[in-house]
Amino acid sequence: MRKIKEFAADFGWPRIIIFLFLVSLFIVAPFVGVSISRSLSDTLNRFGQNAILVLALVPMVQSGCGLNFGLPVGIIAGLLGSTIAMQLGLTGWLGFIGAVAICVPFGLLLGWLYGQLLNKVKGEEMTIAMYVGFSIVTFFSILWLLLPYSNPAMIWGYGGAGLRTTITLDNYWSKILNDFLAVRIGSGFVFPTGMILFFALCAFFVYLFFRTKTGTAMTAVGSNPDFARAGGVSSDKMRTVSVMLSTVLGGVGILVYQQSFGFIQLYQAPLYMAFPAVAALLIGGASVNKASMINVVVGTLLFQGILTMTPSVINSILQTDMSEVIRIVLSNGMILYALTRKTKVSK
Amino acid sequence: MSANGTNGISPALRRRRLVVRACLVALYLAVGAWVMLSGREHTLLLDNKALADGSAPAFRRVKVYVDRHDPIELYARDRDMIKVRGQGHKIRIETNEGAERLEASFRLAFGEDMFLVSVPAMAKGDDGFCEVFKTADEAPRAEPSADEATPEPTF
Amino acid sequence: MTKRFDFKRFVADNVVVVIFLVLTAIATPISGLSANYIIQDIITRIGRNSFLVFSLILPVMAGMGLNFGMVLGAMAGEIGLIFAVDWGISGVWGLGFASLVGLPIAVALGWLCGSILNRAKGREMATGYIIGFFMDGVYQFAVLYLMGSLIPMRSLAITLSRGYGIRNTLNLDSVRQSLDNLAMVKVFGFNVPVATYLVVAALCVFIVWFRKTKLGQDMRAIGQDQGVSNASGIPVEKTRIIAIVVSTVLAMVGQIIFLQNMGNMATYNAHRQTGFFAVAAILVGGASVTKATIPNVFVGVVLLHLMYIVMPRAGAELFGSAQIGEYFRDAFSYGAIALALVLHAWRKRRGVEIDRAGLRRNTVSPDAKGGQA
Repeated sequence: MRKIKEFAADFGWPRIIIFLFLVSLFIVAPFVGVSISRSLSDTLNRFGQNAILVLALVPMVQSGCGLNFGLPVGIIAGLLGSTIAMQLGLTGWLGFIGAVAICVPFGLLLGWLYGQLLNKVKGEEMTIAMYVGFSIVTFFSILWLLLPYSNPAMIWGYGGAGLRTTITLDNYWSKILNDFLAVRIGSGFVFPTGMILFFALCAFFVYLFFRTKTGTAMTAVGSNPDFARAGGVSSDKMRTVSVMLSTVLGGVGILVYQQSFGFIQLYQAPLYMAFPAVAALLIGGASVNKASMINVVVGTLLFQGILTMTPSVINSILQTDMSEVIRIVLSNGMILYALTRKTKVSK
Repeated sequence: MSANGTNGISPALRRRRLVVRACLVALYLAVGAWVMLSGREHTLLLDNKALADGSAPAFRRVKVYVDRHDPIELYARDRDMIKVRGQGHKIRIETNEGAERLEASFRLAFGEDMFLVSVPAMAKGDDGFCEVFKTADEAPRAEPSADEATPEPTF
Repeated sequence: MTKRFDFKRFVADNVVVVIFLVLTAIATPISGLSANYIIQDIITRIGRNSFLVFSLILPVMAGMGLNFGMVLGAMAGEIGLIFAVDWGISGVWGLGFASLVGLPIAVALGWLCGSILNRAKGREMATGYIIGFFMDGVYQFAVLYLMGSLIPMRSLAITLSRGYGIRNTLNLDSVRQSLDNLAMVKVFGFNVPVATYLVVAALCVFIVWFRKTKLGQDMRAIGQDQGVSNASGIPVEKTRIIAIVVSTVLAMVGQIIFLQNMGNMATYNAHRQTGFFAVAAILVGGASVTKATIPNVFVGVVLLHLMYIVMPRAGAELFGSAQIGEYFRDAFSYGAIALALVLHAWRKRRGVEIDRAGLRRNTVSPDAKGGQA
């Protein structure tokens, strides 16, 4: 009994409630005519689609930079990657890999700049990150209109210049990871093997990275900066590396998201993309200064599971679409819960 | 801002604080009720039609003053609309066709939106010249569809 | 030595203001808008927005940073307006009624927000931001599902045809510009909403007075140093909550003033940008996370809104697309907020380092006090 209590306290009641909520949704689903296999398939699909974006938050949490509300910086790098790859006319695997290859240097550069900035504002990272994210998204909205893209599939049809708000990837690399080695079971269930594998690969690399000397030094900087300094680790350098890693992962994350979604969304679309990712990570059991691969996997599964299940199940029960409200309250409630936990404020 | 921590305060002070707070709540409710009653908007339909029982004909021309609003001129079988605030009102008419009563006060029910004021009935001296007016069916009053959609998501 | 330092600080303090001045100075002639049009619009917008911006001052004083949780007050004001319209309370009376209905809601929400922020010391701003999002969900639940079902609504004109929930757009005809038109005076050919300005002036007087009260002094002390304040017997947590409650109530009134001028209310979106506009305005006006004054508010409202008026037109003239102008102004507003926050955080850190260096120099034997926390 005590063990359960301890576990509950450790894992946090909100997470247990969310878990039970999701389980009950799955139990109720067949009774209201929602197909379990289709729901599971959707959940897995959305898991793969979002997991790398969630993973991208981990390095910064570990190095003590807090929750990366500035994830859009990475997303912008990813958008540059995919739009340039498209402009170059790359399709299929070449297109996707090309997009990743183009995204990485942009991510490194933007991440380095972003990291330099965050080093100057230690202790206030979160709010500033939020507004750095907003700024870069709006700034790039201007660039999407002005940059000399010319591929007719991307620019506004009626003679105008500038990229479309949503660009379809249909003839490029739409679903390329999803369909790779995809396993179809029954009528509704599809296992997006390629996408899950790709996430596993990324997660494994991040996991390995935190086993290397740099990785452990990074964790040390996050958990005990004074100790790290005494050990001769440059906290600024480690933080910069973590921000760069986070930004590059954010870029790769949005590329995976796009190929699964089938569209590139530009302009204001990335504005709030950091928030669901943050919520997912926190639901998975992470705190403001500690996160692991398990948190990423569990959190994304739980969060995306609820996002998939609430519209269908709650709609059938209540005859009205309450999922929006549930999503807002749940994801922000979770972030609030994490922010108000009496943990050491990262400075 | 009389609140300042309730611990270690003498009972007398505590009682006084309680009284002050009760007064504030009462004041809040009183002001609320006052604002609600005096700000309530009613629509008056001023009607210049002969009465159904034929006891009073319509005026050929009449000038109607409601409270301090600008006068409204009505010809026979005219109907005009005026918006008033609060429940107690005065109506006055100017005409040269002869009337038993030129001025009257009347009260409106708080819960009703629209009233029909019959000018001939008022002039005749009937006290029931102002009655509640129900629109046929209120349901499709505002534009449907287009505006029905639910809010767009933030994220 | 000190003089140069002050100068640097002055520049750092005002660099956001300077950037905005330069931007609007460039964009205004390009836009080709007439001076009369711009001045009239600015006069209207000062009346419409400054009350909302003022609601940010108190929490800054109490050292809680910019109160992004002010959107809770905006929501309370909107709920008040919904009831005023539903009950058919019109004119200034309707505004008064909306404020009275909004008051307990704003106090309750402010108290809640303040309590949450007390549990998140050191990251009030990010937390306040998320509280705004969270409450947006609760607001949606209340307005979209409870109103008309659990909370009785009279008017069919404002409820959705399914029987419950409020329509996306609320027509505020019954209270439209009732405060503005209460005493509209023509000055040099410009329409000045004197009544609205008087309300704002009253608020300024209130803030000046409040600073001098015991409570105001306590707040400033807490803003300086929580530890010292606590030691000297100031109820820190409680005072912080009061600061947020007052801020929320002011935001509630501010939102009502804002919406009566607009004349329409996007039921589910009206408050979403409120925090952003208010925070951008006060920062553009030269305020920082720890210092905000009445002139900051007015300078900020004028500069920010000047840019909002001019930029789309300037974009249209320059790039042939008003959209670019709109993105420009959004980018600059977000950028201004980011820059102001960065400068403040950076200066705070530099201040700490300089203090540290000063301490080191002043100690008799530097080795005796080697460890620093």
